[in-house]
Amino acid sequence: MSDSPKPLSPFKSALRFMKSFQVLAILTSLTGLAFLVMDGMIDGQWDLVTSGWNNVKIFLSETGPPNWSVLEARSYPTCEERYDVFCSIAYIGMLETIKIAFVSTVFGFIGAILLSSLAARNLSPVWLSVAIRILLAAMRSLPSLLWAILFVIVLGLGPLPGILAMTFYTIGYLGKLQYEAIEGMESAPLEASRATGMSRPEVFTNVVVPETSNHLLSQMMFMFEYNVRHGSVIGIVGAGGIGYYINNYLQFQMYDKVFSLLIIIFLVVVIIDFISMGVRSFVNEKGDVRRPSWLTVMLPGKKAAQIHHGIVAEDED
Amino acid sequence: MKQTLLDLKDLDVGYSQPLIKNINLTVQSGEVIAITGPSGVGKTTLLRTISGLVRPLKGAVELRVEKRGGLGYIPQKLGLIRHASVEHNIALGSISSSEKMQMFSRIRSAAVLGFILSLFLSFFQYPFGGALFFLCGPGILITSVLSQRLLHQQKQTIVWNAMKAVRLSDKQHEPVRRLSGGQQRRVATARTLAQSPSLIVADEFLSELDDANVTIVIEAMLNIIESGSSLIMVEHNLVRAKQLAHRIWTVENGTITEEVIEDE
Repeated sequence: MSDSPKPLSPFKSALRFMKSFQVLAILTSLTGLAFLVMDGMIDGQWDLVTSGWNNVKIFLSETGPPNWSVLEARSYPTCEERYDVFCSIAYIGMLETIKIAFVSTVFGFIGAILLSSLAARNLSPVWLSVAIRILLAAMRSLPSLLWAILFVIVLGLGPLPGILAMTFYTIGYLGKLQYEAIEGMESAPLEASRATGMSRPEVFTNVVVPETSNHLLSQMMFMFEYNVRHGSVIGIVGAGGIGYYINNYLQFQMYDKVFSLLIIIFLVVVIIDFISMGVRSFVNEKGDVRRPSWLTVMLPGKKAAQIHHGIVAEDED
Repeated sequence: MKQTLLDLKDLDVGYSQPLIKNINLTVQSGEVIAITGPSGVGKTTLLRTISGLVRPLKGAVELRVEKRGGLGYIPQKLGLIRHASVEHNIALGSISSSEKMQMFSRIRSAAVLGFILSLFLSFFQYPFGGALFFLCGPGILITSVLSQRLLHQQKQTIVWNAMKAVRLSDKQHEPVRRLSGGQQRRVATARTLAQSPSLIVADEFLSELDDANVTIVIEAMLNIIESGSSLIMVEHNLVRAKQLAHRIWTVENGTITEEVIEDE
């Protein structure tokens, strides 16, 4: 019996060499297939792409630089606030969008967590979990825009149909993410608590929620960000928020103002992402690790390491 | 007077095929049983079957302990909530511990439900519901707050004693994920102590521990065994098994043989 591993045959070595390119081969094949499908769909009219580019240039030249007058107070009603910006269209619209997103995320989260606890296979019997999954699928099969149209027809224009539309969609979407997170949790804590004779609600509140808190928080923050972005879309059908103003400006071809409102939405989404990062650091393991500061990122490696470790040493003292 | 806590009758354990066949054994109160044998012979499956997590393929597991909180289970992977604090993890044991706790918990649930119901009635059954709410609401609210306070005090005492027993009182608010492997095993032990079950089923709970940690955990376990609880544990260290256990169950070739350890 020899100690060294058996050498591979030339055929097997060649196969192993080819295997190292398999990811590249799969990606190339998929891209090629996608191009073929697209070619069939546009009947080979690839010149549309080049002509479209000219339209983009015209659009950008007409849009021009963003028009920040959206941050100035509206001429009517008279502004009684200390700062003009609080009476501006951007502020009023964005605030209403954030309010709609907040309310629908909170209501949606509560609805979703109740339903997802019943839909998770490791917590509920099959018949119940299947029934709840069908309900959740039905709720998210209609996008929030269609829910909004439905509620605008039923309840009329304003923020209420927007809130209801986004709450319904949030329950459907968040419910799925939550029951998948619950099903993905380790079985040991569940088994340890079940063996002690805890009831299902006790297991859910005392074991499942703290164990999956990182995922639940992350999903809630993602949904809030998603609702802020979609709040601007559903406003277009009259369900309130900044989308209402974007729609108005689009109708009057005031693209420069649309541009500035889009920049504001982008900034709000970035801020929410940072808040989300901060909130999640309370419950995930990354919160335990000291990250290098911005200052040390800019410095050369040796100096950065010196400063970084110096800070650690001070803390330990 | 010793009581039979566990009676295994003609038991076959396994998932689709039996791993261990024809088990006929009993466990008395105050006994320590060590299960030994090579890996993969079905020791963990036997513990899971006793704990009610796996159905027996044949025969019966007769547990003569309280349905709620009578059995404490320490899985091999400990089953701790990594993001929660040491205190929260240990308090999980106290949820299903004493009858007093359960009584307070029921009073609290009933009071909260009553408060919500009377509030609901006050909205929809005006003026009768409103009058009922003003008459009963404050009483229900005070009962709820008082029972919650008593429940909290009782829980705090149980958790604190368990934490002291495994010498983790200085880590009360620390998330479990920040503790070392040995400290995490002590938390799992404290969770079971807080539950004070009649029968403890522990799967390799002394493995990966240094001598100092083994001493702490064993001391804590022996205290609860002296009060009449029993312990069934999987233990690979035969010397330690003989020191601790009254009987050793050796699993080999699909059967269990029992060896009684004489007191020295």
